[in-house]
Amino acid sequence: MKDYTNLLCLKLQEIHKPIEKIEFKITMEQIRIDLNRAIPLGLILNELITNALKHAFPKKTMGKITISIKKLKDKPYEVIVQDNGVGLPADLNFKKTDTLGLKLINILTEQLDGTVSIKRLPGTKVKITFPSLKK
Amino acid sequence: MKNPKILIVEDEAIIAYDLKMKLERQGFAVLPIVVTAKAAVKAAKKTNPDLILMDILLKGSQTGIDAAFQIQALKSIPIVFLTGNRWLIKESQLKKLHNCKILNKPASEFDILAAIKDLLITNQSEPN
Repeated sequence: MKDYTNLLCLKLQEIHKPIEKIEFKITMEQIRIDLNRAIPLGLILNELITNALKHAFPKKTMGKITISIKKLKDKPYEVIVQDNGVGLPADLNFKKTDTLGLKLINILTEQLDGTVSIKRLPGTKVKITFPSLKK
Repeated sequence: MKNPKILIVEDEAIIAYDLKMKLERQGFAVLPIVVTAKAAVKAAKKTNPDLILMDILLKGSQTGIDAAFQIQALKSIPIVFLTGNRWLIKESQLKKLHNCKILNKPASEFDILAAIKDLLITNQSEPN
């Protein structure tokens, strides 16, 4: 997942070229996940990073996006995508939204039997956890 | 039949939601999506769908065909199988099921709707 995430960030940044001052920080071990779950996880990361790039820094100021995947022993996977941008709109209900990206994040996390939680810090922190073994 | 109720059994979330959106646009009432054969049987019992869209390889040990047998043993509900692995369904098995069709994935919206309408009409004309 590490190589994939590095490449994904690079390519997504290319697409959203105007925003060049965004710095990525990726912290994860070389994690190997079976294909059935790597695909939805990859799609989730794509949506989360795209959201951060597209919406978090409207004034194209300097910004930072932090991505981490952790797998502690006997614990679920923990995926965090965090930015120090403007934050989500106050009236947005993450669970009941009609925007495609957020909807996809919700349904793909469901497919992983996982949960999504969002924190409005200064910026946005999205945490996704999903169990390590398929039931 | 007004707004027939459709049950979608599919473990790939994006495919399931794509089907749901397409069907809802056509005026069908789509029941909550289920991802295992076991949940499919339970939902069929509880919610009485007019038709089931069934994937074959599901999450868990049982397949969509297992679910189809269990469901049709209880109720005569027409089933459209959607599969990328046509060989998973044996002709001999298919003969034991009634009111069903198989479509290869990815199936076009047109083909899916045609199969659904066809089965709904057949099922209405022979009530049992």
